Amino acid sequence: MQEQDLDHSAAYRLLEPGHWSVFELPALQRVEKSYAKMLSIMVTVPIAALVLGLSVLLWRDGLHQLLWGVPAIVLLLCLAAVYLCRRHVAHLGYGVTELEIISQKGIWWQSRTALPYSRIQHVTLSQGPLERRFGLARIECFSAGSGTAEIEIAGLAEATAEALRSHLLGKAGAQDA
Amino acid sequence: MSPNQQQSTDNRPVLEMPEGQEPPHSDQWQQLSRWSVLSFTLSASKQLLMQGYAVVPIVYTGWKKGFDSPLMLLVISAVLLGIIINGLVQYFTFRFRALDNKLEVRRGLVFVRRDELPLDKIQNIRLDQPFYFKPLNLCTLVIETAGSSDSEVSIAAMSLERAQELKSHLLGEGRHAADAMQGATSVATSASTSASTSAAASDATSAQGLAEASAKASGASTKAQGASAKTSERRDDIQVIHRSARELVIFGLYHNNLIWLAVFAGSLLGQIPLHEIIERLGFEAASQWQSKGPLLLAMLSLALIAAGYLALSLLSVLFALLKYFPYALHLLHSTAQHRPQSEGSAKRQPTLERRGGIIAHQQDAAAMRRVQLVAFNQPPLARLIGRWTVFFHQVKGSEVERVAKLPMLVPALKESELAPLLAKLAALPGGDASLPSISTLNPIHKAWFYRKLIPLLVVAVAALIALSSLVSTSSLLSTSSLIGELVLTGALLASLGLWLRYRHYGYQHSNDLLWLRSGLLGHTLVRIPLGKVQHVRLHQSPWQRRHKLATLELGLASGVQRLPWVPLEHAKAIADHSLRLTRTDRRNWI
Repeated sequence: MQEQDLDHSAAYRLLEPGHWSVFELPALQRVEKSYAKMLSIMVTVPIAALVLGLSVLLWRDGLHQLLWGVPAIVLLLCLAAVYLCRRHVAHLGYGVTELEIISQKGIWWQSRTALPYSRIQHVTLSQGPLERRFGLARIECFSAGSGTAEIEIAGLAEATAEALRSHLLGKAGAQDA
Repeated sequence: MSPNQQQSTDNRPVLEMPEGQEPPHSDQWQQLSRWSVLSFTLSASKQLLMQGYAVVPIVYTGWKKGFDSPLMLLVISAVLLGIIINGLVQYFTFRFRALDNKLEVRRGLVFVRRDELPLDKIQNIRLDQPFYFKPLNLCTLVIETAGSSDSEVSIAAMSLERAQELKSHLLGEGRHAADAMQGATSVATSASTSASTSAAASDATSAQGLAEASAKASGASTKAQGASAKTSERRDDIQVIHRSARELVIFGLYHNNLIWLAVFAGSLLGQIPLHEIIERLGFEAASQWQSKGPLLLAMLSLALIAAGYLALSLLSVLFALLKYFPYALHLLHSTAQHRPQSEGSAKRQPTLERRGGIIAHQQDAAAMRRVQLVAFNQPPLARLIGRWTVFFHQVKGSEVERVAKLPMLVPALKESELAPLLAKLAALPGGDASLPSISTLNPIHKAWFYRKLIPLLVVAVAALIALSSLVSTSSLLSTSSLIGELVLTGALLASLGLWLRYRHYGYQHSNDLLWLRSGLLGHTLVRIPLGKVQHVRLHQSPWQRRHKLATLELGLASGVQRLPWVPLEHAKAIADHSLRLTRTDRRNWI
């Protein structure tokens, strides 16, 4: 391969534009916006339930004057949660290049992962009940020796996820005898 | 597999093995030797004893009563009968066959289990010889594949020669030999085949100390020479390094950790009347000493700890000797002498083999190309005496020492022995490279230390302020001053630990290798072949982004290695280099 023939001795040299690595790719693919909606529901519903449960307790104990705060708290927490979910999803990204798959996440503490197709051991496509409702799916790519997925791409449209899965399976793994 | 296929394979005639007459591998199902019943029975009893030491007190009290209870006798005989029947069932149901590309094993009576091990997925092969097999010249072949920890197959009670042959076959050598029998045509293949068949034969020869080469093996080599006229390769068996008893004692002393105890002594401890001893020695003494003041008590407890440590060290030395003596690491490979044009296919896999063990003679073999990373480790004690342990890490979950989760290792190396050892192992993935000196390693960014120290100090100061404000309002002065001292000591120790960790980090990227050093009191220098990397990940906090720093994570099959707080350009260069090496490399890397 051409890339194998490159001079490897200049280990720390700067890369010319156009030879940028996967860590320089400016824009990755975004995941579906509806994933933010789904996440918001997943986060806000338990918060609201918790706060409402608390307010029932307050009501029972006769602390009625405190109850006025409940809607405000619910609103504030939920707004914050929805904002964070949207930011989180906006910072999710994935990239399918010719030879590897890339994922990126993190609002403040950002990380970008690259896994070459040649090192993929298996690929799973999964869908929870809520994801099914929103027509979303997630892809997980595993390599050897660890129980956790090296690459996880959540919030893909079903059709995209299915296409990506078959694409990855076609390219995955060691292919010698 | 469909039921029909299952049926058809099941109907094949089972090859009964007349002792010593059977072929090394054939596509017919083979049965184990009758002696395997012994090994099954004994291993089941051992497991029962290991896990059943909880019932020891019951048996003990039964013993005291003279075993007159008929129920007790009944239970014991039932258990014994069960173990023996289990052994017989395993013997009668166990079938295996070695095909050209896989090993198939079928076992079980009610729940039939069928394993297929593709040969190129085999991680390492171990030849165990428990003491009771020594006079019979038998051994057990243990085959491990990458993946879950129970993906292991043992073939019990094989004759040594057969085990050696099967081992060579499984390590990918016999495969080509089989091709030769069928009449391979291309030049390259026949070159490789002839070499490998003779390799298989001389592998059996090389097993001196275990057994003499059988007439059977030499027969195989003559057959091979008939199949293709000239052998162009020679099989080498080089002893890379050996360790004397003294060195193993040193290893036991400095590599004194609780793993040994947990593994080997767990069952022993359950049988020692620990409570009585403690009551008799400890508490009485403690109660006597307690009246004489806290200083003596402290000294006593220190002495107890020292005695405990000494006892652990002795155990550790004992186990190191039992496990490894006489330790020898061999490198098996063949060197191509002619035909450079067929080098690609004629080159055989260099294999590392560890031999030794007093109670159970053991042979561990691992193909060199499967070694993921090599770790040069020094626990704190070893640093004082200048000794190193070298670990060869393979894919996680397929460690050579399965119980202790220990990879293949070379114990108690002197500093001066490291470079020659590494030079002999030039076939390690990542290419030939000498050990870098620790002083030439690049340090990580100092902000790693400060950015962790500041929050720690803030928390400590806040805790102290909170305490002092508490003191002014409460009467518990002595308690809170004690807590204050504890907080201060803790903060001091944690800062020291942070500083030590910071000082120990170091890295060097040269060609296809990354050297990474880390540690707290001890330290480890890890040799990472970038071609073995699976995934690369760059982490950046907002502060790191502003200062063009990053934390690099390299995922290997043996685990994740992290290089924290290095210049972004370095992290990227290493990451990109790994990707360049791996993304077009379709060979099996684990």
